[in-house]
Amino acid sequence: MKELSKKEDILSLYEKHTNRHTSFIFIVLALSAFFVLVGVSLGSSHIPLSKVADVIIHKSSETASLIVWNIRLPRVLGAFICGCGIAVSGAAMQSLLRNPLGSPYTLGLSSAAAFGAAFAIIVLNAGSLQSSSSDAVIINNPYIVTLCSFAFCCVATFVIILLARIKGATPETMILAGIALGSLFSAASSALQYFADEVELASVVFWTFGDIGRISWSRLGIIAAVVIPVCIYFIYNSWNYQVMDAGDETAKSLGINVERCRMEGMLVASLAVATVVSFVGIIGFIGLVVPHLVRRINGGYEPGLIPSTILFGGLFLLISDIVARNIISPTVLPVGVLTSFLGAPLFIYLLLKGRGYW
Amino acid sequence: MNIIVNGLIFSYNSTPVLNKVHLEAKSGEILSIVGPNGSGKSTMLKCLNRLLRPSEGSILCDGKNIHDFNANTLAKNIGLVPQSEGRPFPSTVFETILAGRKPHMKWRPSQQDKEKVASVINDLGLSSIALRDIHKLSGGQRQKVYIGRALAQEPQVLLLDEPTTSLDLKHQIEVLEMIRRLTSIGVTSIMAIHDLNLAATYSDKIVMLNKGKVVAAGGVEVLNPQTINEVYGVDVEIIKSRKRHIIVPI
Repeated sequence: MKELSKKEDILSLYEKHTNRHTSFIFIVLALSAFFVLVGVSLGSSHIPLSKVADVIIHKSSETASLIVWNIRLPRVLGAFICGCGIAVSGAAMQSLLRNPLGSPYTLGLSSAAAFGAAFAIIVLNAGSLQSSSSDAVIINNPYIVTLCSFAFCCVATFVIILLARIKGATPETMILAGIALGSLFSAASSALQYFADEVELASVVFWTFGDIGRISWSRLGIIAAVVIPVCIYFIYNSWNYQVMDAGDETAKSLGINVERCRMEGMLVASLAVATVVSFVGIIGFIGLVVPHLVRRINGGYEPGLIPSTILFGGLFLLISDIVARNIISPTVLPVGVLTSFLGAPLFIYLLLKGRGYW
Repeated sequence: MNIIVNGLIFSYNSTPVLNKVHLEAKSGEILSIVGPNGSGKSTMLKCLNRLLRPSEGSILCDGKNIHDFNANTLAKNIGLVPQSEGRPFPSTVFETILAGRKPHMKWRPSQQDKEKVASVINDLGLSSIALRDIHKLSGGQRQKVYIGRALAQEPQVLLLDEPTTSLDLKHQIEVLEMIRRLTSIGVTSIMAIHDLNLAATYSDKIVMLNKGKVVAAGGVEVLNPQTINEVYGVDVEIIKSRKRHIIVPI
């Protein structure tokens, strides 16, 4: 009887421990809902917080309603969804590559996307310079830029997967291949920029600043159609990653097809990143920092980490975007610049403050 | 579960590491594989767990070739206790052991899986550290956690890669006693081990490997001065004391 109570004690202790993840998820969800309202409320035309819910529910042809429905809401929801996609890809890549430095950018994906954009703007003449209140440059054929950057992200991913198939899907092969590809695409972008005129150059530079303002309802739909299934895929596979954290041999001895799981996971994560980056540009550090922040708060248990990271990533980018829009109002700072500013010191803080596990 | 290894040949880039190895372990036995560094002990365990594929020979579990099992069935039957693991991220003792239930779960653990883990933790005396990060444990505790994970897996065969290396005397004895208790309920244990005295005390069978070949196989008599000199190049004498077979270098 004594033994039974001991076993029950361990179980209830563990349940209490896992409840932390559940509470964290609910807190982040509540905060996200609140910041969606804040995000809709704040901007060059201020809509009082008390009115926001009313404006969202009762769609009309009033100015406030038009601003909310056409500009603010897609932007705020877009920031959340993009944050979810980038953060979960970072968390998955860190686990799949068994490397704390894994992020969507370790694999050269951002360089590939930037090259794709530069290629579209310079070679395919998809960019031009215009002035408007919010953007210094407007890309006149955004879909070509988006398609090109997406296509080059896919090229980078397939090259890495191909190399992994030839040399074996070890984390080292994938990271080294990613670094090599990243340098190659950066070099190619520089070469293209050298031959570009100043308008094209400005467009390319503008594109690389990740900016959520490029999201419309239809684009949000496409991003969500990719990011949501990707999130479900990673939650479903989180137990495989928990086992793979112990190392390839242990994971294989526990019945996991490690190579297939790694390739498939990398492909899915790259798809999410390619989709987000090709629509909004490069948003740095979220994929790297958010999973580490969540690990610091809740531990490294993957089945808890993945859903928490998804939501926390969304919240992080949502708040970053609100700050970026309002910090030096009326000028809107591209959120990619802000996340890099926030991300780097945050990462150093985590490094100094006792990551405790690297 | 009975294990029969027949004529196993394995080479890394045409350098033979295992050369026509034959061994047999019956249900409920502890079989120790001994031999100098580089003799093929760890490679043997990896072949037994299908982490490496031998070029020739067969490994039979109760008469069935392990290469005919699917990955999950193999994981339900054969558990591996590694010597060490490099885990990049934190993981609690409970969650590490829960990973042993992976072959039995669908996409996430059931309540029964968690109950099984709680009872393994209780049996191993790890309840006070159940929620501690395994990076913060001593080497002995961590080894127990790895054994715990293999126990949660409920395998018929347990493979242990040098389970006592880097453990103090108390933990060495504790770990080996634990393995002995397991074999008493019918689990077959095959371990690679360096310490010949521990091998002599705890094994039912000993296989001595040298340069990928079986030099001697059998009971404790395998560990005699002549064979040890031939394999290790060290002169030893055997002292028999309290029914124990003690090997002392001279």
